Amino acid sequence: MNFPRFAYNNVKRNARAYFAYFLSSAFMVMIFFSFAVFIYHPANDREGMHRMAKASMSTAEYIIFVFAFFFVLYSISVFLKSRNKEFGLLLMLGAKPSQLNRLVFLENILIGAGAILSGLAGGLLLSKLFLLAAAKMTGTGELPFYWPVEAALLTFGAFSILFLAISVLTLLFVRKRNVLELIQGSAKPKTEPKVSIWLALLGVALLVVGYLALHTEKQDFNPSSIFVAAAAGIAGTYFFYSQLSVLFMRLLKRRRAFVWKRINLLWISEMAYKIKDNARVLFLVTVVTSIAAMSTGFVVFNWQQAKSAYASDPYAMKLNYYGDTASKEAHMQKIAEKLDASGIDYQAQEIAFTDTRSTVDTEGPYIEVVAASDYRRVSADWKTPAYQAKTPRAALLLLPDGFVWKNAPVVGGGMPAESLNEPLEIENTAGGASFSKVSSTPMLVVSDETYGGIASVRGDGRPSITRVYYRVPDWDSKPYDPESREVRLSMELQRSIREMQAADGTSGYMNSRAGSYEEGRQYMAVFSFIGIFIALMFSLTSASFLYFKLHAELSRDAQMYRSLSKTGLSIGEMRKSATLQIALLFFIPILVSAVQTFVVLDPILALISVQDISVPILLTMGAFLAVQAVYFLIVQTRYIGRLKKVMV
Amino acid sequence: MNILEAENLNKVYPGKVSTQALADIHLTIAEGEFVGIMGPSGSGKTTLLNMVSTIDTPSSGTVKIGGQDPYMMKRNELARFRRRELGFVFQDFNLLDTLTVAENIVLPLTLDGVKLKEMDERLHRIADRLGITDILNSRTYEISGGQRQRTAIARAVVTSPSILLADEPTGALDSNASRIVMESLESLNERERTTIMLVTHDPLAASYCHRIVFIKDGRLAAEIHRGESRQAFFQKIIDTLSFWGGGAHELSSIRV
Repeated sequence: MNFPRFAYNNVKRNARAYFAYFLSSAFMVMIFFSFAVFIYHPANDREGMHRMAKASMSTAEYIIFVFAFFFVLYSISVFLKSRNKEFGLLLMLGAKPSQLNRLVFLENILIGAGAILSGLAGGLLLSKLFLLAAAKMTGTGELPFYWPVEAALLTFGAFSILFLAISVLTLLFVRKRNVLELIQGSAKPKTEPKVSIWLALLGVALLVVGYLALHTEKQDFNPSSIFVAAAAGIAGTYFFYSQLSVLFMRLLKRRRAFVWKRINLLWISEMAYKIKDNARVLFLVTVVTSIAAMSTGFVVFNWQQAKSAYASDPYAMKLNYYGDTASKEAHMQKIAEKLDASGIDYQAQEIAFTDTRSTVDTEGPYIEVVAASDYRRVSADWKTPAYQAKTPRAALLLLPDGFVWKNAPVVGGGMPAESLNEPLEIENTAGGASFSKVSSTPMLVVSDETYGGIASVRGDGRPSITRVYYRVPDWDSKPYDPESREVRLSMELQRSIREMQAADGTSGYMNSRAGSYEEGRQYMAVFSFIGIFIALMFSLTSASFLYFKLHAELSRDAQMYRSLSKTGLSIGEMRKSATLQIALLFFIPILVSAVQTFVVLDPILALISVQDISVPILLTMGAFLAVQAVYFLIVQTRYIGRLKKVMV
Repeated sequence: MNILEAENLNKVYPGKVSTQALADIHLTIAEGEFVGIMGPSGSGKTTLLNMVSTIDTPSSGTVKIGGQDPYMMKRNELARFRRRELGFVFQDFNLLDTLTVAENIVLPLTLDGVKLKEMDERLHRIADRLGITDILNSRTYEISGGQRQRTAIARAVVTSPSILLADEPTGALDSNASRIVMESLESLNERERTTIMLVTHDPLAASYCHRIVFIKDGRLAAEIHRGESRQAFFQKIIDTLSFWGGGAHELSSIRV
């Protein structure tokens, strides 16, 4: 029997021990391959929508690869640790360390090759499903199955490199050359999990900081506070598992009336070790689940926004021009032809704007200015109050909902504006949902005289703004329906006018509420598809980490339960104790992330109706919970099954 | 009253070459007795202990502990029986690293749902008796081998079992720790009238017993009783061992 033969037999006859490692590697290959199948799909080159999906998928592919690398590295380190005894024995029999390295290297290559091949085979089956789901969720028509040669080659190449690199890296894991240590391995007693009161306090402080960063300034989600909240929250979560949980367990143990009761003593004391040992994995699962659930929250929030935008936008279409309006007539002609051909009744309103800003509040935004006579024509559409300037310098300030402007002028106050000698007097302010959809910036309604003043004096090269608003009464106040005439016509017009604009080089754009909705919908669909897919994969693989860890400790636990069973621990009690521990490991992260998600999204919940957003978040949580539950059942059954065998 | 009554015990391990591990064993242990089981390796000592510990079932014959037949019980009933009626002491202690000494000792009581106050009373009484009160809050890896074995003994007797079964309790200890552990067992036997069955290789440990049963090749070979002097009993053990263990030259009468 030569050496490669020995390695081969080692793998073949020890299939059980290698199985978990093999399976997780194959799983990674499968996921990677499924993504690649989508990316290299021939249909992608034809349709425009797919291009964005493709770009996002490519990014996801990189993430998966990096994750796969760490995942496989971690699984092999756990796997090799469980084989220390075997290595010790080989060394005792006189194997040279270099031979041991070769053995591990060869085994790794064998398993890697097997994992790649079975991953490709499994991926071929999965990819059909994947393409179906991708097409369905991104709303991009069906993608037929094809022979993914390129994808297979990419997967094969990428993972060959990965396994080679990891095989080299594993040599670092087997460096411990002390035979006695290898043979005794985990026989050494585990010392009590350490907890530092300062680190625990730091953890609490971080969580509090994260909470305060989000909750002190409502409405105002500036990027820095979100960043602080995220960083503090994530770091705090880590300390929660590595320090606070241990501290909690220690304090719990002082309550002897509770702990010294039935199997509590057994599982509670074991649990402290298990949480500490798995702190990193628990942390990972929590963060991944939280991020997925929060993203769902934000996606749904945007979704609601898009829906309400569609419902409250008074105009079916808008044409916007900055400065040059030379091609305006042609565009309007095009729209008129199309709508007339379909026999649709419509009104077009052309309004001119200029803009200004406060001379004292230099941090403030540019404010669009409209003349009172123009405003009179649209105020009913905008659902804003009619306005007649009482004095030449009087003005009405319109603010979109949720617009953040620190030093916004107050009613009755003055606002010194650029290109005006005297300050404007703000007579009143207004806003509302419809106005928010018409304009994303604040607006001043001023007398025609003042308007003329601002428009003529402005000499800093800022172009005047012209907008044409199209109102189609037939299409108004109907829920979005992708099959409706509005959506079809709007999309067609949007496409052809954008083509015209690209050809004539006008600085402006055309948008339609149906078009915006549709774009947002597709974008969000792709985003959530990829997001949910990756998040599920992360949580699954993190659960596999838990499984590996449990599996590696099984022999120690088996020994413990065996001696306990000799002294009278019944199978039922063993099952209760072990199940409780595994269940806590699997479900604590979900619980923690549920709490985190609702704490983080609380400010948003305050803004919109709670039910709208809670349900999708709970659904996402539910999906994670279901996946974890399935995994838990598998692990629990196997674990208890193994322990049952050692019970006497 | 007899605590243990084993009658006509046989154990055959089936297989291609079936092994008769025990043949026609009769063993009775009365309440308050301290009985040793000795014999060379492979003689069937451990098999006998396993039968008595209800861990293994005999091929034929009966075992009665405190008048009850554990082999007629259901699994859960059996677990409860072990917990209440049997105390175990193992060579490798089998203490849980994750628990303190006190927690290790009360573990069987907690499983049985004993009240906290009663647990505390029993814990302190037994710890006092075995001289381990000072280390109750230590972890098992912080204490010496002798202390660990005394902790294991405390755990075994804290439930006031009918019989204490000790399997080579001094096997992993140095001579001083062995002495302390054996003296602890002796004092439990004398003061608490704990019935003890001790399986051992070590003649010195065996010399603490009242009576020693020798097993060879699965059969009862001899039985000796202790008189007044432990020294003389020790000598008698050595003699019996060398007689039953083969030629007298195989065993030195002097313990090195």
